[in-house]
Amino acid sequence: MKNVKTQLTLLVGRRDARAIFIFVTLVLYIISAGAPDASGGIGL
Amino acid sequence: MILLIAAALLGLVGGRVWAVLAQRPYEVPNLRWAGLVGLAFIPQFFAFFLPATRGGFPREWIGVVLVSSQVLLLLFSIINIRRSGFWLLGLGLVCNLLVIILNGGMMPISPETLQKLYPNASAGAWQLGQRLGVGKDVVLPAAETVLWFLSDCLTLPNWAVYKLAFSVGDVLIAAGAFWMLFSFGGSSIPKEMQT
Repeated sequence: MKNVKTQLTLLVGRRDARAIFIFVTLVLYIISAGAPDASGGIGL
Repeated sequence: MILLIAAALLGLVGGRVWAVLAQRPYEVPNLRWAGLVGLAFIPQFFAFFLPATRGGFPREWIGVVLVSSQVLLLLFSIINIRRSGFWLLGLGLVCNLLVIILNGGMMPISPETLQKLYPNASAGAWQLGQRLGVGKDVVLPAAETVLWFLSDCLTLPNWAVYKLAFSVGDVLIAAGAFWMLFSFGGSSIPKEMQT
C-alpha cells in the first residue's frame, strides 16, 4: 500500500497523490458498503 | 452503486471548485488504516464482481463475506470518525449492516420493489428467499423483512432513465462521501465571498 502511494506521489505530486488515493479508497468503501445495482447481474 | 460513485465525484469536483473560488488549497488529510478498505473489498470482489467466481460462490459463504467485510469497513470508519463526513459514512454502513445481519446475511429486496423496477420481467426472474442474480440482495417479502425500511426499498422516480433500488444506508453513504470530499475544499465561507 505504501509503495503504491510512493509511486503515485512521484508521478503526480504529493497533494494530488493523496487526493487520488483517498478517492480510490472511498470508491472501494462505497462499492463494499453500498449495494450494487438491484438487478444483481440477472440481466434484467 | 453508480449514484454513490457519482456523489463522491460531485463532492471531489465541488470541493476543488470551492477551494479555487475561495483561493484556498484543496487540503486532503491522511486517512488512518486505509488498508482495511482494500482488505474488505477483496472477498467481495470474488463474491460479487469477478465474473469467473461470483456465479459459483457458495450461497452459505455470501453472508459471511458480506458481514465480515462490512465489519472491517465499520472498524475503518470508527478509526477515522473525526474526519468530516465519516460519521455519515459510518451511520450509513451501520444501517446497511444491521438490516443485512437481521435478515440472514444479505440485503433484502422485496418482490414489489423488483416488480416496480422491472415490470416486464419474466415470472422466474427471481425467487423468494433466493439470492438475486449474483448480487448482494436476497428476495424477501417486505412483511417478512426485519427493519424493512432499511432494506433496498427506495427507487428512483419513474421518469429516471436508470432503474435501481437502494437503501437509506446507501443515501447516507452517498451524503458522507460527498460531504467528506467537498469539505477538503474548506468548510467556512471566506470573508471576501461574504456579503
